[in-house]
Amino acid sequence: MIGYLVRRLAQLIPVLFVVSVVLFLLLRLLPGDPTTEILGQEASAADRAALRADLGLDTPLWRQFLDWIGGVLTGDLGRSWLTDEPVAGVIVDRLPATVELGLIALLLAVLIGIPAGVLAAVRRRTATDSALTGLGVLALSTPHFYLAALLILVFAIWLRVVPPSGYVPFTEDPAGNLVRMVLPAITVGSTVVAVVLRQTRGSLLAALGEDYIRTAEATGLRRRRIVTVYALRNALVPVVTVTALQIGALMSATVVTETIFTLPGMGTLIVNGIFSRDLPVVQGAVLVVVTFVLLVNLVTDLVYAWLDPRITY
Amino acid sequence: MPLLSVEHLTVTFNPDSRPVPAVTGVDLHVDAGETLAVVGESGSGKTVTALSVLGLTPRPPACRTTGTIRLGDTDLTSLDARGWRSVRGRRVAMVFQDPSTALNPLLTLGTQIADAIRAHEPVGRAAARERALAALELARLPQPGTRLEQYPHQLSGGMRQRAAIALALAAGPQLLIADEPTTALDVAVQAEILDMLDTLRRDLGMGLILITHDLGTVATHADRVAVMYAGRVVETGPTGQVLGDPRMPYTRALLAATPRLDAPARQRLVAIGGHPPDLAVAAPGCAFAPRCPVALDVCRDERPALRPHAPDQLAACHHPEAPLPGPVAAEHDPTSAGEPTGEPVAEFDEVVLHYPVRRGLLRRVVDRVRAVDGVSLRLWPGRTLALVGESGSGKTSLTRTLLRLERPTGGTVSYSGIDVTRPDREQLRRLQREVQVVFQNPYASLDPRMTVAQILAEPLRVHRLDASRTELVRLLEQVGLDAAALDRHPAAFSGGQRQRIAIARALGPRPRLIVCDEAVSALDVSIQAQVLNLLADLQREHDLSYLFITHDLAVVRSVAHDIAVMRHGRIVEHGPAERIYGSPTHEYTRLLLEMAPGHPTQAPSGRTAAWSR
Repeated sequence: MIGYLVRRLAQLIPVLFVVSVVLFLLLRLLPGDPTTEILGQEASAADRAALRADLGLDTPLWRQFLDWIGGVLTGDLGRSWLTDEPVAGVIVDRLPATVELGLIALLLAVLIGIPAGVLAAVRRRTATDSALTGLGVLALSTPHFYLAALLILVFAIWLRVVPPSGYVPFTEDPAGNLVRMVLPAITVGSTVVAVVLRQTRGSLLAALGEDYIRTAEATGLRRRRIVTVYALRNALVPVVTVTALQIGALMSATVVTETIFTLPGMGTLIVNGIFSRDLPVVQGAVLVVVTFVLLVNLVTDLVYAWLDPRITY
Repeated sequence: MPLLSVEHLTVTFNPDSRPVPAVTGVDLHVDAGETLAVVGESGSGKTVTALSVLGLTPRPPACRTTGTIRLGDTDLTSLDARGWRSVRGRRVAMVFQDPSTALNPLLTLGTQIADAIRAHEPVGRAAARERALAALELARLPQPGTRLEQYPHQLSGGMRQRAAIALALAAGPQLLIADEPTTALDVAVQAEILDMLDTLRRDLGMGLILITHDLGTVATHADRVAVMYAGRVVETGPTGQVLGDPRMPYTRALLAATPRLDAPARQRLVAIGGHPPDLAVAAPGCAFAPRCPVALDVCRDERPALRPHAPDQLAACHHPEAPLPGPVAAEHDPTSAGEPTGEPVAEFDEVVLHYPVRRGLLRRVVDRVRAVDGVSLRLWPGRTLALVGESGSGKTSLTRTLLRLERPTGGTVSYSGIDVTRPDREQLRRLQREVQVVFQNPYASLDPRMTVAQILAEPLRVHRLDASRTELVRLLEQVGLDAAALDRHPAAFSGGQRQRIAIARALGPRPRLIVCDEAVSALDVSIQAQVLNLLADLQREHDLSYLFITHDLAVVRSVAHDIAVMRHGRIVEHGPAERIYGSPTHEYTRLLLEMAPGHPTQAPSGRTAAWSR
């Protein structure tokens, strides 16, 4: 187990290296000149050249990459071209909002998606099942920006039960923070809830058709125990898989959602960074997100082993 | 009063749309301490009958159950959901066919068995575990204490079935239903499990319903037998009476079709032509009439009732005295008795196949699994070599080296002078054309989305051979099917028909050697006989060689020229079939022969006079 963990962590190194190279090169392929974004259209050629030299943009690409990756390895993500703040500090400021958003969305997925999926499976081919699966399809096919606008319109503008946008840190005002997080979390979580619901329903129905369920029935177990212990546990392995896959998708959903709700999170950081060609910030932020997603995958594999004794590492 | 009595049981699936009468008017009874065998082919309704005794047939409207089922003085058919739960496990328990799927893979044996107890009795966790331990001891699981914490995948097949039996016995049922409890197990383990069920039935005074398709098992383990066909009981009575003097032609045909160790070698089996009827199509008359060799007009128009013929023996036949055509006189083919001639088709020379076992941080090789450990064998033209062994003996691994699915660690595998491990382009094409395979499970080995025509044409196209419809029809006719099959999908065919399609596919590229990997194990007895006969005919016609992998010595009795018995990766005995069956020298071969179901010497006195007659 420990050996497996060490091996898996070691495997992250080449993956992260390739990601850094690709990330670095892709950002350099962006059209436009960073110095124009920073100094404005009217800046003189001399000022721009000075800034280029200052930012190290006059050196060859490989040199720039080595400078950056060398810094990353020593824990220095560089400084923002725009504000000269350390990138690491900026990320630390922006991380809490995104992590909170992701966690609430995930919580919704587990607390709503799994029970709803179980209900739909147990009440298969009834009105309940149709209603739940129908809602799932609706949630999956509604774009986030549309759902966000709709939620703001109904709950913030018509009903006035929550503010339409804005953010206060949880540490400063927990209640105020949660009230502002509800709509963004529903927006981001809607897809995950729907995916988890569909997967739970499908794999639970499959599990309920297995021979061991018939055995359990033949020993006189209660239906409730058969569904919740004998079948659901077997059905959860694929649910864990799709949930983990959704976490990657969740990151892209936060980009749109944070922008609409003006949350100061990683999503807005990356988008604004790209628009203003503040490449060190984008590189740092994306690298953190990628590392996070890779670690989530690793944790998923460990969860498999916990759920299914046949899987050993 | 019998422990269980079933009267006029009728189970209909989809009663409101497209009714399929799975079970029709079945009467059965079982006394305490008695074993009733229910015999029949797949689809005969034996499992559905058993499930209705537990109230586990699908709920209405998908299924309608009528008739009465009485257990002691309880009328089970009038029970509600709660009432049924109190019967299941507590009064009637069931052991299912495949122990690898019947136990929950994610829960320990202790949890599963304790759950079965706590479903019926208000006992605490600790007490339930004590009882679970006792149940495991009852099922004679070695080291029961450590088993409580184990998961099903940590046990061998035989031990899993013991655990499943422990689970069934945990709440102390009066009636145990065992549905093909040994079909999925190795021969030696089969005998142990059946003997254990016998002992448990006697010691606990339980009634036992043994569902099986194997008449050998019936002969040695049942007091009474009920033969089912197309959802009805067609013959019933004391085992000796029914097997010794069967009255219903179906029972007689089943007996004749069952491979027996004491039959003459390579004698054609008496196959039952055709296949069981489609239950959804209502037909008057006897359901067996279309396949019956002695059917008259009355059989097709009027359904015979179960009528007494001897004390306690009932049969549903209009003319139970009609003589049946006996076994066809032994058709020994001229080459069979002689020695192998010519050059060997294929040769295994000191073949070794080891799988590395890796452990630790750096995945270092710490050990080897010796799947095949120095095996030398030759396959001769026109002859069948049966490679016999239990699961894990290495017989399939060895074959995989010939099919290039596995590279031997040592030794050489050659096919007519070609080194199988490194053929050149030309040789590889020859190899791929001339060596074909028929797999065990015809439900898995045919692509469900391809039509039969596509399935048959594919290998022909690969080898640029004639894939015209005329050629495809010729292939189908060789295996007893016709042009009508071409545009249908595998789902439209029965298991036996599918295996014929698989054989037709193997015959397509005109092979010289066909590997049959448990090719008839999944088939019903009557169909098994058809397929075995077909293979023997094709061998004579085309001078084919067969490498026949099997765990059952009786099955290959009618086809094998030579036999190699394999164990732990080595050949323990090898020689002409006559000698191996007649005077086996290796202890393990003798054990396999003794353990084979229906072996005459295995019969406990009294039960099987008929079988060993």
